[in-house]
Amino acid sequence: MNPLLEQFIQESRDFLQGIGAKLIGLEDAPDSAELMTELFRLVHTLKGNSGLFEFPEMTRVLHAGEDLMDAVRDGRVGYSPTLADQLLDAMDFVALLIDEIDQEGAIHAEHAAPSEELSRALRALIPAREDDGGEKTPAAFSTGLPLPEVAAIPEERRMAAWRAAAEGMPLFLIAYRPDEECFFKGEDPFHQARNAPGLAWGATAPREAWPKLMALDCYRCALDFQLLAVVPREALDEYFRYTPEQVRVEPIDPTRLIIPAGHPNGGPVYGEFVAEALELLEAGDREGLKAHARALLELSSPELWLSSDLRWLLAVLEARPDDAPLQRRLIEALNTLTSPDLSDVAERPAETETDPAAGEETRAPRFALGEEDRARVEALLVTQAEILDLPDKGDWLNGRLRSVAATLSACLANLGEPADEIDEMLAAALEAASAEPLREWLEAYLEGMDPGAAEPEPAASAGAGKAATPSPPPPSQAATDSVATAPGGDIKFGRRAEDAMPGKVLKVDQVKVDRLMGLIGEMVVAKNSLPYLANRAEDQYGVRELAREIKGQYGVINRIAEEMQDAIMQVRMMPVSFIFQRFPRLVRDISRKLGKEVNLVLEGEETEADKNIVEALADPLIHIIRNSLDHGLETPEVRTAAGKPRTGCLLIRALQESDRALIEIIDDGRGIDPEVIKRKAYEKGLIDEARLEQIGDREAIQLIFAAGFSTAETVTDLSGRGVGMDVVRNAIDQAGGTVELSSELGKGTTLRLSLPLSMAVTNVMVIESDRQIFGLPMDLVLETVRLPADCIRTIKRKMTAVLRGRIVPLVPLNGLLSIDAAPIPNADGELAVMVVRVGAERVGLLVDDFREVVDVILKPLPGELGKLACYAGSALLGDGSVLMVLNPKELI
Amino acid sequence: MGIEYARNTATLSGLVGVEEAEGLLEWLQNHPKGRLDLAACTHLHTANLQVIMAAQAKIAAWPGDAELDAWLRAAVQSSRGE
Amino acid sequence: MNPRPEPNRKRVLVVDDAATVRMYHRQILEGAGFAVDEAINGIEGLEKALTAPYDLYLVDINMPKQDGYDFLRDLRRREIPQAPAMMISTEAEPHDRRLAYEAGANFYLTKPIKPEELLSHCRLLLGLGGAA
Repeated sequence: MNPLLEQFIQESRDFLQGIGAKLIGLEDAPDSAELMTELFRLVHTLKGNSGLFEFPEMTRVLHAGEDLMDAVRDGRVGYSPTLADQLLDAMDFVALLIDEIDQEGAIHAEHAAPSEELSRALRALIPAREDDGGEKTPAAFSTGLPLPEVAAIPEERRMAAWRAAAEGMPLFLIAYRPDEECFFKGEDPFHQARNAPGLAWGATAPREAWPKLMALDCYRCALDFQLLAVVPREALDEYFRYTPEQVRVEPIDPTRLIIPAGHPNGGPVYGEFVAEALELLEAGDREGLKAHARALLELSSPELWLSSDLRWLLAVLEARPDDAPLQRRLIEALNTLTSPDLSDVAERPAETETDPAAGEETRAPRFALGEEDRARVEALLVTQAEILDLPDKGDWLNGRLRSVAATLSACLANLGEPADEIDEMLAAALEAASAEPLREWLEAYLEGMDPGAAEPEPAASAGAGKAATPSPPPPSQAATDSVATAPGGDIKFGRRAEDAMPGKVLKVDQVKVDRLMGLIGEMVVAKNSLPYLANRAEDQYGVRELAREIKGQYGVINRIAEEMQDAIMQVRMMPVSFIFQRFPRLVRDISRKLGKEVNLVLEGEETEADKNIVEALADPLIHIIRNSLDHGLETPEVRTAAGKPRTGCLLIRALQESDRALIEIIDDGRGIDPEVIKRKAYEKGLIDEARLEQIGDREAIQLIFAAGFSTAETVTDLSGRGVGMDVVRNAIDQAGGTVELSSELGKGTTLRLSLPLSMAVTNVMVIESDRQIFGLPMDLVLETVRLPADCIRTIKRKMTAVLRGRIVPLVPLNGLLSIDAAPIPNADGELAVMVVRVGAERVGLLVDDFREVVDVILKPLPGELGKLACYAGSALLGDGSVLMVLNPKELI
Repeated sequence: MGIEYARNTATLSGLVGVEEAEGLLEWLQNHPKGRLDLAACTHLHTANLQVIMAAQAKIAAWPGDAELDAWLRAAVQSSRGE
Repeated sequence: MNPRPEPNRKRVLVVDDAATVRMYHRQILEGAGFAVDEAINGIEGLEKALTAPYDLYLVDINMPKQDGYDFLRDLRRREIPQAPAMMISTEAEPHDRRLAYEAGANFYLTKPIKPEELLSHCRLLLGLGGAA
């Protein structure tokens, strides 16, 4: 045992004995100032000693004793037998604590309450001093503190807490009223509240209405805290052991958390859903019920009361599959759209164990793992993989393998999974004196672990393309594949293990990366001022040498800045697998609902793009997939009749093409009938009769992107929701991308999304027209050409030119900007033509001259100007001037 | 890490300790329209928290730390409501 | 008043030469209901382990007489139930980890360790779930 502690214990016992003797002595000579002073000194020293250690229970009592002795010493309190009894009681308690420290090395948290009681009793003997004004005892007893209102807790917090509680964890509402003076004791109640064990939710509010700001005393704590925690009671007691009088902890029944909330707005009638759901419940078909609920949930706005109720239903189905009464209440509640009365299906309040040690053991196998602990279990598993990767040598190999197996079994127990397989693998490994069987098993296991729980991993999808069937993807296939390509497997495990180690991978707030991104963007712009400076040095000051040097330095800075920019962009890159991984499930659910058979193939999941881009892709892609399944792919009967294979194919492929990410969604369905589209568009007033006549097939199918277009013959409940492909197009546009659609009737449809890999810095070509300069995003510029005037032909009053065998319409930029000036040809009589991409078309913009290409940070135009769709925004140039950047899509 | 005061914005970053509370209060008293940038703030001592709540300070940027963000939004809201 | 050691309590052996550290671990683990034994070096540790195998070992690296690596290798050579072992050290180099794993450790924590972190890892290595 710690010698210091040993010393403390021994000395404390001596002191306690001394205190006892002095107290007895005072019985006979209650007026002895000498005895009193000695008594005070003993209590005071003992208190000081206890403060060296973390023994708040002891310190608290001794502190109160010291204060009381102090009051006796200076005559504010007369010595009495009652007082002596009280002090002796307190010292007995301290002796008990000392014994416990001696035997156990620590004081158990359960002593906090008696310690609090004893010190209160001691302090009750001290009359309040007139001069010190401040109350020493807390204003309110902790039991009177108001508890948080459950309904005010956000749903996702309640649900997370409920899930953990459903696993058997006790659940508590906590009210915490810190001492007003606590800041002076070095306390930070907010920190205390934020870090409470098992915290599921927390909030703070002022105790009383705020005073005028001028009158605020910022060093007097005026806040109350309210918490929801999922954790064993003793952990809370332990955590708040220093301030038990400021905390009220009440167990609550987890069912009380189930409060669906949201807009009561009904929309369609859900009677049918309720009837079907109840049937499924009756039949015990939980999977069917889940799918049924999920389908309706996907169609409903998340703010609806209905959606909230469904989310709870799904949560209950997941965590308490056998609680049919509770599920029934939640389903039936949809009829009335009012919170179900769950009081009678409630279970007993969270186990309030009287015997913590026993309770802990018996409950062991079914713990809810917090996020942090899940990550720890993962780290443990990965470490075992690393160990199994070590060379099989040493005469202690068997023991090592057995210890790994023991660790793996513990990990699985933590995750609530059976560990039978591990014993088998261990037997095989011991037999072969090789880690291989365990290693293979673990690798496959790690591969199959719930991807949602782990960070998306670029290296995880090592193969270029992995086919996934609509049924849940079998992990073993993919896993053994990557094992076969041994080197990849090794590297991957090495990397993962590193990841799991603290200190190797930093979790950085996105804000910080964004800040870096902003700074490098500014630096890129700032460095662009150097060429201007060089020109000025040469032209204005005539120092050529300096100009050259500046240019040289510019080259260096430029390279570094570019690399830096690239490095920062890399930080933000994430693989599209992040969104692709949801698709197998989505496709399976939808196709099942539609009675279609679909084989989903995902390719290029490792393709990376900026986080914002990848996130922006999620919704449009889901919509596109829904559309494909709903309108594109036929039912098996129709397909068979058309001579196609029964099962349709949906291919989603991601690839990188120079600085853009391409996503292709290809189905082999019925394709889009241009005639149907034309007719619909005409009926809906999207095109007029003249256009109906002349519009080509290729152009016609693009009409599905027009706002308010819906192609389905009948409105199905999947995609016929008034949300059409126009929304998809808008979302992709906003991310700086383009959509291309091609379709062959009867054969299938292909959608091609092209997106920038990143969105922060825009590459802009500067052009001149009518003595002004403009910018054009480089990603839209296909080429720049100088055309002799005689190459320009006028067809139907429109200027065109033949470029690379294609007829390209020519449009003067001045005309588009309502500038009344003709394009100015150069000395050789050539006109500057910039060929840009507008949707799927090419258009030649006639300008006066091309200038340089620059990287700029594009900022949206402020206020009213922002409504001018013909500008994509403005940017600051290196010389300080403002460049207006055009938006050709709107312009033309 | 602490508080940097600019003309109209105070930027709180990292862990903002108890000793900053007085300065913050004073600044908010003198700049009733002052705005707070909490983007890089990871924790602030209770004293600072209650100053922000009592002043009903305008928030220019909420904390990047998701947990702190949730606490603060709710706290500022509750202060405005009363 | 104190929970008495029960036959089914998980047994943890702390092998460390520093009394303070042993004390620290003991406090944390006993507070959570584990039965904790101490050994001041590897030799003593092995003796105790052979008498009655433990459910978990917390092992320091640098110790007089016999270091943590040797202790683990010796432990893993024996025909006794092989429980998980966690190496606890101030060294944070990958090299040290590798040596520890080779010798028979199952995880590696770098000092200083927060009580919560230590306790959680112990619980997880014992298959008791994470929460303390």
